[in-house]
Amino acid sequence: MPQLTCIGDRIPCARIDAVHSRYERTVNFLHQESLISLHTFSDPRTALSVHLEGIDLPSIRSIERTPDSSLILNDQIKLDFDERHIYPASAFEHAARQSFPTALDVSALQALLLRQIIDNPLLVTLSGVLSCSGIFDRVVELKFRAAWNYWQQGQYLTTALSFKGRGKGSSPAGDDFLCGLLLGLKTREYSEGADFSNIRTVVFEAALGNNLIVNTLLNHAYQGWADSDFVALVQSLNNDSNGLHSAVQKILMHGSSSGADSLLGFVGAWS
Amino acid sequence: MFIQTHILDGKYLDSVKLMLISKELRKLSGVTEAVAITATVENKDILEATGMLTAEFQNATPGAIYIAVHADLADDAKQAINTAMDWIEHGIPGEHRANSQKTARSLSGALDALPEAKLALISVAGKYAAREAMKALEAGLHVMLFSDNVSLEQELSLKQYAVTNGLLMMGPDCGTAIIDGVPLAFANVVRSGKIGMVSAAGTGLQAVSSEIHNLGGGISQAFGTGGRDGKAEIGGLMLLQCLDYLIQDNDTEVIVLIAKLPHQGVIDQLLKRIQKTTKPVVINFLKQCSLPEYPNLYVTESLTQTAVQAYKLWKADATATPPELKAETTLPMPTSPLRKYLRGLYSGGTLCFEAQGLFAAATGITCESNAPIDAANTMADVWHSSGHSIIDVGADEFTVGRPHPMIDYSLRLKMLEAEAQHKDVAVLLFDVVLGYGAHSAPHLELIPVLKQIKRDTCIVMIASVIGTDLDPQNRMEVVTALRDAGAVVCTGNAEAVALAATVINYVSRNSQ
Repeated sequence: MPQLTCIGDRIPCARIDAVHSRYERTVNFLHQESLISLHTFSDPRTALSVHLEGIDLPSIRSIERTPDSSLILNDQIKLDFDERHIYPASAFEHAARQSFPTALDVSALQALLLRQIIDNPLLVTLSGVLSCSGIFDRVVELKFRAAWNYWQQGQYLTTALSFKGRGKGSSPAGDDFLCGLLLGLKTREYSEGADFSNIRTVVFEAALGNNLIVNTLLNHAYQGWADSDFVALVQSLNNDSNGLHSAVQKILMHGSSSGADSLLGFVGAWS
Repeated sequence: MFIQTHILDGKYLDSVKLMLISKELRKLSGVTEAVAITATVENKDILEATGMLTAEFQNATPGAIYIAVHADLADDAKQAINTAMDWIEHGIPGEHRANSQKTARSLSGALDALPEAKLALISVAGKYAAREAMKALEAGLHVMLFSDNVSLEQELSLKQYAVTNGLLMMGPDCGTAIIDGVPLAFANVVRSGKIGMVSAAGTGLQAVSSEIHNLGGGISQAFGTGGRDGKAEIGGLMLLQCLDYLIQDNDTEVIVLIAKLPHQGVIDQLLKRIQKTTKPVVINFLKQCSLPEYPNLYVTESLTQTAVQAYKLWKADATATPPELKAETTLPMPTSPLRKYLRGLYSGGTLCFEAQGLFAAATGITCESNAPIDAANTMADVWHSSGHSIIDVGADEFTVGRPHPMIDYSLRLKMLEAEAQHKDVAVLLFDVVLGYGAHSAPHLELIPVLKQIKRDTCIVMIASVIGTDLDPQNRMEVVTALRDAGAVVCTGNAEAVALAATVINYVSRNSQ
């Protein structure tokens, strides 16, 4: 029997049949220049993702969220959900505000990432040391080091343009890094009462391109719509140091290197 | 130097696949660099700097996949592109099932496609694992549950159902088994024979089955139970069920039972059964323990001893030490008096556990570990060793978010390099586990690092290679390559630990 285990809380009440892309365990539907992802056995659950079990994903051609808390697939399969299934994107804000007005201490997170992440051209932003061996990765690493220097000099637009679209992955590493950076800045706004909205807007607008997957991720990060794994990360930074390792491990499992890339961007927001 | 590129438009591949294609292409003959990336304007200057930018890229639709290969010869570059296209269409070897095999998206679909199936191997996220396993049991299938993160209550429920219905419920967290000659999950290829095994210790099963094969023996069945089966909460349900099967099995003449010391109630139940059979039973509880003296009960203290004992019982005229197990006679010693500590980095949890006990017995020294025999010796920080330590790199804290170290050597290589930087390290001890599921050529990963350590330090590197000549890897090539790189190579963990202890005892004496 098909089962709905998670429905994003920003899925519009509309019928959507424009498929943007299909992966082995994901179908991305296109709605107003944003993607809504259907997953099976897949994490993370994001503010725009629907998580299903027992569904033959390739056969799904349309989704519709109705006002009476139902999700209809292919105009036929009706799955009911209740509030418990709605992922609370606001949980991120709540988690991040817990430390207010004290700044979150990310030193343990930085130390963990230095140990956990290897062979990643973005690691240079944290360690300052070049460590990649492949020709392509080494060149990317040099580019990223230069890009990070711009950030440290306060040249935010140039930083975003230097990371944007660069590196490997269906969402290139540089874009994932920028997503993490945006989310980190948003976290600091919540936790410190700071205002980085100008910087965030400059970075977000510069980073937008013609890759819809990336644009959707950037928009999530810009708005502060974190997925549940990042919520857990911020919670652990606040009050549960024992949960830090587990939260980081879950994020590292995102994509191939997307999790690591976004984590490095996230801690970059504190530099 | 030649560059060959290909643009793939309108095709979406996830990052994991793109990365894997890049990695596998670089392994091809003559290929010096290869990338499979999303075509973005911004990646252009990177490709230019690496010499992998071609005119074809200029015409790429944003978001298309760009594959570029650098090779010594034009033919190699072209062949690599063709190979990449083949992988995209048909899957990367080792990543997907062969095309000729049937695929299904559910258990019922799998049973429709293969109605004669008798066993389900389940590897899904832990939260779904128990439910899927119960579905399989209810369908009358034996189950091997590779997944972990299943609660004790769920495990008990699954095993009770299995026992009631005469089914096998191997796992959860069961990584290896050999059923009717078929290796499952992480398992070695061994000849069929008359020695049956039941093990609640995964690499223990691999090590002993491999050594029995290397001695000339063979395996009738090798059941895994999952590491918690011997706990009081589970009551050894599968250990007992499998033992009963092996006692009854006409193809089994000698039984091997391996587990971390089970609960006393479980031991009592096992002993009752052993007392009632005439078949010889070799037990290794990976810890010194006191068991009654039954004429058919043989208690061993190392996995190698377990294999040798079982082999001898099967073949009465067996020689004690076949050539395969011959110890190396020339053992280098550290030349610096500052070097005095052992650092063990294991991929096999059972081997790590065994190493701690054997090392303590041989030296009187207790090692720290992330998976200690005694909780008092738990490492404070698994990433920073001090003194003597033996680490299970396959433990959760190292494997969540990255492949198991039997598959991916990158973390262990990094740890080996880090340990070699310490001026007080005398011995680096590690295992290399071969077989299905393990890295296809681990020596190629290890050689550069071992050579570097050999060149820069006087650290003694000792490796044990677990596997057989029938494994997918070329075992002799692995052993020879590690030796050539400067490591002392043993075929068993006990021998490797004994040699490590010899070095530590030597440096201890000379530092006094």
